[in-house]
Amino acid sequence: MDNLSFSVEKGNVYGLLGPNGSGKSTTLGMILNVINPTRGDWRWFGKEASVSSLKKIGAIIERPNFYPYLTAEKNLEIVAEIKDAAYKNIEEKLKIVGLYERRKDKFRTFSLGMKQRLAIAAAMLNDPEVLILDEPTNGLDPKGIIQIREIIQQIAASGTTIILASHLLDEVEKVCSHVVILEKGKTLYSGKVEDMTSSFGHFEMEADDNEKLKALLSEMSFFEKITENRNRLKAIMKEDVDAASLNRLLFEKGIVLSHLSKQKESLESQFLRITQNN
Amino acid sequence: MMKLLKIEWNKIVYYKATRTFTIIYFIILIAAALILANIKPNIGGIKVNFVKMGVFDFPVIWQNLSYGIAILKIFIAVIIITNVTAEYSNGTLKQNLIDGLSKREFLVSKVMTNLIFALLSTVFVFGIALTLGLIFSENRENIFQGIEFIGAYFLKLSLFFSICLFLSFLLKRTAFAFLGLIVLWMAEGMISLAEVLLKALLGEGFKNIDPHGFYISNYLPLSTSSKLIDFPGINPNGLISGGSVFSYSTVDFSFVIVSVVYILIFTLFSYWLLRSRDL
Repeated sequence: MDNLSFSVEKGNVYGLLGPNGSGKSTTLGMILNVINPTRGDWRWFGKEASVSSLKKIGAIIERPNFYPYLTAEKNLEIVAEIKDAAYKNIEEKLKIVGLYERRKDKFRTFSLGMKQRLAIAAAMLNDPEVLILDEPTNGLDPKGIIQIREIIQQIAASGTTIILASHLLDEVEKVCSHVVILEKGKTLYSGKVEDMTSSFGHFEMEADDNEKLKALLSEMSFFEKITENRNRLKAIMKEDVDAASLNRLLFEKGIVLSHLSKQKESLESQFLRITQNN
Repeated sequence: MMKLLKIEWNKIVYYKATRTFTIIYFIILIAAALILANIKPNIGGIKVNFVKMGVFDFPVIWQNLSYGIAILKIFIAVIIITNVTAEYSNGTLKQNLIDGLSKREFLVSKVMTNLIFALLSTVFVFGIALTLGLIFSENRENIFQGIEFIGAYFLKLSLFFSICLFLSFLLKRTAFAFLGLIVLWMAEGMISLAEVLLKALLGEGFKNIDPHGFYISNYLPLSTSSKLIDFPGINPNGLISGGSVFSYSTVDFSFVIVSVVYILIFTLFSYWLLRSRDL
């Protein structure tokens, strides 16, 4: 890691984004007390980092770590003891992640998706103020991914601050409000997801008479560039226009659109742009 | 404190394998003593009767029993080493720390487990020795003379377990921790041999070597553990007359002090390993 620095505000969902090996897990490992940094410090909740602050944090690093020979319930009892959480929370959290019926089964009999959900239940056991998830959907099947995402969104909606490390762009895009982009241990970007790009996005359009449409669009002042690709026109905005007013404007000029969609620049293209600039 | 014990209780007692072997250990502890008291093996044509030999006579019974039964500590060593190395292989050590257990608390919970195993074993050995002594001993006076060996037994187990704990933290894998124990044992054997040879060559001569004399290598960790409860002294007259074979001896106090120092050193080293390494 190389002079990485960022702060996290309460109630937001932060994405820690970067390719494999960019230092996401190392960063989390350091702030969670399992990796010794050569130097530097961090603060939780505005106080010096300590073991007791870890009890107000729920974290899952890389893979679910439990005692394979113990039942789901016993495993959570150990976590509850460590976090000074009440045993009654165990039942509640197991129900949230849909594992209550399997509570008496040994951890090693669980599928990866179930293991990951148990890990989330464990992390939530003490109703933490911050939830840290490192690659929570890694290796899961599509159904498992959707289940985990739904749980994450549910937790985010309840006001818990979430730090989500991932190399999956659409995952971060779907869940996060803020993003920190890392590469080779350096911060490339840190801020709101929507501020990542200065552009306003683009429209995709199609009409019976694309030539006339293209001419009309060129006359308008909101677009900086219009390109055509397989019968679709792509108009890149230089100022913000909403789709309804553009549609009305074109209709008044005698153009009926058969396709219209307004798109933001995807996080993927922004991510590639940012990482390529370096 | 109670919290740490509860966590360890869950980790050990609810694991079928460790639970089963712990129970078997305590059963064997009792069974070994009962068998010893009741068998009359035939060694080289001579019928050996342990009771007649005075194995269970006060006061030597305390030393004899704690010496004879100590080998069973390997049972608990297996449980301790597996318990700690599994925390590495399952990633649960990392998760425990992330969940908010401090590294110190983690170590304390493991040290407490060691001490409880040592204490329980000691209580069992005390109970067994007292019972057998009351049944078989011809001497019923001063029955608690020589009870210091029970204390030495507790120290012996604690030292051995703290070595196991250190090797588990150092090597992180069950098989390697045992290999480490074997390497340590062989290394100590070789150092002892070297010391004896050196002493002989430097003037005393091979004829004058005293196996019970003073050797620095006796104070190596595993040797200290075994010297705490040395092989019971033999009374040659008893062998000839057919009476009690054993002579009463006491615990060498220097080994008590060295044991305590070693326990502290190995525990501190364990803590240092736990602290300085990334997980």
